[in-house]
Amino acid sequence: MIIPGIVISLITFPGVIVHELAHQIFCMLCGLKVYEIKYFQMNNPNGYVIHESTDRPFKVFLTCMGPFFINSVLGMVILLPASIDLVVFQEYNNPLTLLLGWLGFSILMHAFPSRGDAKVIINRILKNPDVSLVWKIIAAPFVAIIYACSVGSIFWLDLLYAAVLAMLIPWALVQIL
Amino acid sequence: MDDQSRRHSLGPGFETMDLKQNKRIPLPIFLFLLASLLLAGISMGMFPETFSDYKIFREAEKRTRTGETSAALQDLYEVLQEHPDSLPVTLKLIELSMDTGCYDLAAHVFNEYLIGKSLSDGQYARMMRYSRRLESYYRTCDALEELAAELEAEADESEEKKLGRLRDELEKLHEDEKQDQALLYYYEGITASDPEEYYGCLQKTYAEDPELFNVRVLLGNEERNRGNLTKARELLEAALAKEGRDEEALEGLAALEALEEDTQ
Repeated sequence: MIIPGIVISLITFPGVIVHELAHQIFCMLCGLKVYEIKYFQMNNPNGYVIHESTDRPFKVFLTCMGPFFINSVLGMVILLPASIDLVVFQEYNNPLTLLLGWLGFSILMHAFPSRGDAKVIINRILKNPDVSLVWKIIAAPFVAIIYACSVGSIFWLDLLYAAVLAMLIPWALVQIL
Repeated sequence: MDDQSRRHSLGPGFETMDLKQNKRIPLPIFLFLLASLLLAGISMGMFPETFSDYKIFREAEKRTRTGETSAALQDLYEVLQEHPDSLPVTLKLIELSMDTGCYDLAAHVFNEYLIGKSLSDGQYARMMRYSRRLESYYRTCDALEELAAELEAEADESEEKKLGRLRDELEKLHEDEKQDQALLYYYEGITASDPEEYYGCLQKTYAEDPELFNVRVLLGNEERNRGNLTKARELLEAALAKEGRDEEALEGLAALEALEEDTQ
């Protein structure tokens, strides 16, 4: 089923806000100025951050991949009990569970970095002659994954990612404990 | 370094003139972040109990095969009380109860928790099978209770005569296909005075419903008494695999092992 991306973004707007906020937080941590930020808008892109650039590969990597880690961890933590109630027990009448479920899923669905982030990694790391080969080897697969996830999102890969992560911890804990 | 190269920009239309400004997190966004972190904290607080319920749900079936049937069903029932609107929990408890011969629990869950829930075609077909089984079981239970009450009311009759009448009535009930045949064979067996008839009825009960009451243990003990030690061990160990603390099964197995030692 094809649903306009803008509709999906509107429904999952908290994820967009957390995504841009994650960019901003990592910029602050890396000492990079943030010149302009849009946490959410009804245009494409739904949000953006314009910040000071850097040639330090570690900072480039963190600022670009930051939303992936922040959105994934925060989304998983918020969704943990809700995913069990909603997915396993199929209980849909608790407002708190529904709120946690919506918020957690929204945040997880916007964990993937954008193609813009991939382009920054390409320009600042892969095409940068001053960056070591080790960093290029580390960064290259992430660029490939970002582009793959971007295409995959058309086929609901971001939703699948959210669903898998939602049940991963409970399932893993049952196996271990 | 020029302005363009000093910033990560999205291209024309996104250039900003003020490169000295460093945007801070605005208050509404900061409050949103705090609210998200608060909800994350609430979620972490809720998780241990929800995970415990999930673990019980996931492991219930395995526990019924590893000697913890009563505990597994009791725990799953408590999970159902916490999540009364959950269809998966309701169905699992009914299925496990029926599979382990706990018909009273299955009937209770059917009446108190399944009513009003929407089922898929497959789920409906399965539940209807269980419903027919329970109907048959309770029809026979009611018939036996009525019979027992009638016999009890006959104060003048001797015990021998009452037993004879009971067995005649049990035979008649066998002709009704809607009666629970396993239950009828069971009561025929435990009221039989002839050892061969007792053994035969136990075998028929086990063939119809191996989970009915303690038929596995009774049959296991009878096999032991007849010298069929391998079969006896099989039955008694199966009883313990269902309920590890089954005292009758433990006693039966102890007696079997003593017998095996004597014969070596």
